[in-house]
Amino acid sequence: MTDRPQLSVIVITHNREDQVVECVLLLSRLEAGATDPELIVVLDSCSDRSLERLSSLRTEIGSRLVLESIQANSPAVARNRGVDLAHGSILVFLDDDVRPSRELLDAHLRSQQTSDVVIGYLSPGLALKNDWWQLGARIWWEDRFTAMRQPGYVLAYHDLFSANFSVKSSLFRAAGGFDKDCPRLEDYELGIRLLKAGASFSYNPKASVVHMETGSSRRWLDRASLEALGELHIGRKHPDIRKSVFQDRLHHQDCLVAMWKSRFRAAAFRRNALLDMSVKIAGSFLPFLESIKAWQTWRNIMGGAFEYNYWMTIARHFETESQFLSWVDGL
Amino acid sequence: MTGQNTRLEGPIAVRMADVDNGLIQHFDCSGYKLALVFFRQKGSIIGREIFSVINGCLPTDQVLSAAREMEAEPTAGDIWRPELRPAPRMGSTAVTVAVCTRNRASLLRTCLESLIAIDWNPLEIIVIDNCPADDSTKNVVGQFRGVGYAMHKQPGLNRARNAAISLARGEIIAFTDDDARVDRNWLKGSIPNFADPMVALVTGITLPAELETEAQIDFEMGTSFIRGFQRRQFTIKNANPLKVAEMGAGANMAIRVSLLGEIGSFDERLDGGTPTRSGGDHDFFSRALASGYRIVYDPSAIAWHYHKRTRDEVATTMRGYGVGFFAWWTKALIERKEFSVILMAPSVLLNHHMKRVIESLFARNGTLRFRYCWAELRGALRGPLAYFHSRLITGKKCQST
Repeated sequence: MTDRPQLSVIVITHNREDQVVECVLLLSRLEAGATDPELIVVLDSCSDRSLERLSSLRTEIGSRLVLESIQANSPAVARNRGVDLAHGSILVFLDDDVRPSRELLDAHLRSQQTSDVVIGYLSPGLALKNDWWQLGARIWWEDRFTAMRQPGYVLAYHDLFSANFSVKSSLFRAAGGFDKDCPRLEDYELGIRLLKAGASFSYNPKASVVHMETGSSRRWLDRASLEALGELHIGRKHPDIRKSVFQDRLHHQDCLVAMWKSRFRAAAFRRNALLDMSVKIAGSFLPFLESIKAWQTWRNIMGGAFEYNYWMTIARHFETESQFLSWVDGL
Repeated sequence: MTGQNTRLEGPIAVRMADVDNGLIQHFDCSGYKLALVFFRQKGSIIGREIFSVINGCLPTDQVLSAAREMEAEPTAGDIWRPELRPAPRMGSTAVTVAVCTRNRASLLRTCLESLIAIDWNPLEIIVIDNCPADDSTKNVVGQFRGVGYAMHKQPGLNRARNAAISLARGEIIAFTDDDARVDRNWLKGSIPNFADPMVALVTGITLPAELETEAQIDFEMGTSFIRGFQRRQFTIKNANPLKVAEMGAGANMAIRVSLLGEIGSFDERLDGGTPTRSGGDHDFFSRALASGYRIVYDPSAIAWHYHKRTRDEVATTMRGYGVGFFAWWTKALIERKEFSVILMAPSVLLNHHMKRVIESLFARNGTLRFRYCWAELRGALRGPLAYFHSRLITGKKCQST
């Protein structure tokens, strides 16, 4: 036996004491490799009792539980800090709101023998059983992983989810870690750099965790802006794949949807204050529409408001829509 | 070829042409003036066409040219296109096949004959004999080795379905009706869809088994069970749980048993054998969607349905559909707080039922006869009362959701 652990598990957390304590407890019971995995928890800007409760676990788990508090308000910075403290040759990144399966670490370790990056399965759990947004999100997640299971599927940068993946430590460090300037989608951005560095990706459904979906329609609309900033950042940093980053945003197979998407885009670039207000008001009606089960209206407003918020953020960085489109085309 | 917008006179031969090799087999249609031909390519129904029969045969050149025009195109963006789906592994999925029946022994025999010939090895085949008047069903089932029999004394199609579920040992339970027969590749068409973990339910295409009478032709041309020739997927992201008629029918459906805890079982106050007469399958489909799961309609899961032969029977069936549909919507409004029913119900009454009644009065081509439309409209108006009546006599405790 060697002292140096094979696996370093890095969990970052922000004010979710119950979830992170449960996650760490479950992780501490898992075995993988010749030595017990190192558990590193980075508490980012926590104001709850997370540190206190995690510290009390040290008596049970021992010195392999490493706790670090930072004030960064940045998942990228928090994960990179976790890597700074890690000793393992393989890094496993997990979110604090996951429930690891018994095979999780073992499956990551086994797949790391043949791949540089191993993507694990995030089995979506619902915090609210009948919440429409969460039901839709579950379908989205399952579809992504179902696609990855298909023979011949080629894993891409947007299949890398920071909530559950592993990577060789040397490769991660050589790639420069997570980009702290990326406002969102920092995992996708890392995926691009790893692929460019020639890393091999694989998906192992046995490396699974239950990922509790806690989002809501309101939060999702708020996140539209961050999605836009994340994609803009990726587009600027990686002009060679800019077109593919915005491909799905600009095009749709369904002509009707495509038409509406382009209308929302055009409207957002016109920057009409009245329209901004209308979209905000319409968005605030979503919970009411859900309560009266107005499926169609809810779906239309949800899709339209997200689209508008996304493009409004993009519009702040370009003079006109055509300027943005030229930029995407690399002109 | 004969246009489909004319009122057709029977009998009409029903045939299926496999067009994989570019050749059309010879079909004997002696005794018929017309033939309804369904085209199958790579195991999936891709279209239909009506042809005039010449000297007891189909005009092969016309059939061939129609087949060429019906090249199946995969749905755009469909990651589960048939060619990408995992090949069905025989016996790898434990499937229970269930048939719920009531006093229709001769039809059941045809159904069971088709089931024991399917190209799949189901874990079990169960017949639920619902409130039988005699032993005829039991005797028929006894003639088929390996087919299980269970009697359920209380009448109700959904009760029988729930009884089948409680007995089933399979991961998937596939239902067909006693007045239907299934294609040899029925389960090969539906079961691979369950490789997608979000699929709760798969429905197939239900074709007419025969069009021997005017009533059967009327029913097929006006209220067919066919829901298109493209594989389609429905989730709450693209479908309204109150509009599930386009997703298939209970005569040809398979359900993932493990999800029933979340979706709930069939509501025993709805469907045949209760005052609501139908709607039990639609209620179930609706709840499957609202629970966040996917429903797949796959035209490669083929069943053939024997429509009612007389006009009286068809009128009764149509009335039952009207009652069942509005009984289910009443339930959705009262119990699931689906308030959009309040807006949708008048619209359906006016734009669907009233429109059909008026069109049928003027006997426009391709319209259903007045008698059937009127029966359906009367049923629709009766639906809410039927729901409350059923609730009263079945008891609130029976509810399954």
